[in-house]
Amino acid sequence: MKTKSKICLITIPFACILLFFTSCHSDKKDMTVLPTTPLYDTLGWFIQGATGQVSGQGTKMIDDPDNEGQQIQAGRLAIRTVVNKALGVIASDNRLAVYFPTLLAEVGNGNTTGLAHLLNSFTDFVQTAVSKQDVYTGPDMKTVHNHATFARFGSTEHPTSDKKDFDIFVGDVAQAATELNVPVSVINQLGALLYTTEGDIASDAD
Amino acid sequence: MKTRQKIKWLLLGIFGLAALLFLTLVIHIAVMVYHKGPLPFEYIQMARADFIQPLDSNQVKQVSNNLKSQKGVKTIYYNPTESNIVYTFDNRENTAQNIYNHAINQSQTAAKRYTVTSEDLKKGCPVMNSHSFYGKLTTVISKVVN
Repeated sequence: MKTKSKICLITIPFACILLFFTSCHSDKKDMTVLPTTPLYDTLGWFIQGATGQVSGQGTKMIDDPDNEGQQIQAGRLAIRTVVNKALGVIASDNRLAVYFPTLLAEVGNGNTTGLAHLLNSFTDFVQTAVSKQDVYTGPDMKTVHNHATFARFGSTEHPTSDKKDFDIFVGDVAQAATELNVPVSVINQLGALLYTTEGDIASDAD
Repeated sequence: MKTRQKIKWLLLGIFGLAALLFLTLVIHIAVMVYHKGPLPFEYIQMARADFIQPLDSNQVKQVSNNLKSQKGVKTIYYNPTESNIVYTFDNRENTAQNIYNHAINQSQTAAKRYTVTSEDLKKGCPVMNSHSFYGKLTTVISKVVN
């Protein structure tokens, strides 16, 4: 075998090992100081009964009331509570239910439901937007809201969603938050945050 | 080097690279799912019934009470604008059809169960497909490392 080929055979596995170590870096070091924002802290403060100081309440770890033995950031719990309620409103809304068939799909006894998957990924998405923590790992919004780049979304006739759909969506989330007695000022901030993604989701956004 | 030997080394290189990349994927997933607890609301399923006509407050109350009395039912949400009711339940304890049969069919309010076809499921939001290769691999690895 020529020396060049031998070098190649030795270099390639080393390159792969290097790739492996760089792709699986631990987040533990990065997560020692969790990012937060005043809105995230406010949400965490509300879910804990709205007493004491607000600062730092978003990232505070508390027992997860819906997942025995697990802990959760208070801010995330508040967001998940709103998202959970919103998914019920969305499932009942004929204008939007068609976009979320997984919510009402039948799954076998004891299998993880579409509701659980969607609740988790949607909570990740909102938590990332609100807290500035990098927890959402799903595809970017622009790619998945266009039939041309993501076949599951829309159809050839209606390849993208529009402003009207997006307004309905934000309206349903706001309705869910209202029913949970979230203060109007907080709902407005959440709404403003959701509208920052409008440009990626609604094709006719300004 | 003979051609045969060249092909042999080439194939060995390709399979070796594929094996290393697959190993990288497996360990990457293992690191991601290690010590991750179960999903909250893992077995909570959602179902919906559409009423032919809007319900009055007494009917809403009756249907809601019927639903509440069913095993495994967690939450109930009536949408007056669309005249439908959405209920969540633990899918280890009951089924959507069974709840519908006992709580709504027997309440004598004309309704229809909302069902999602397999065609509908091919569209919509990009939730990770647990039946895909990546989904199945993640499930298997999660069971092994946790």
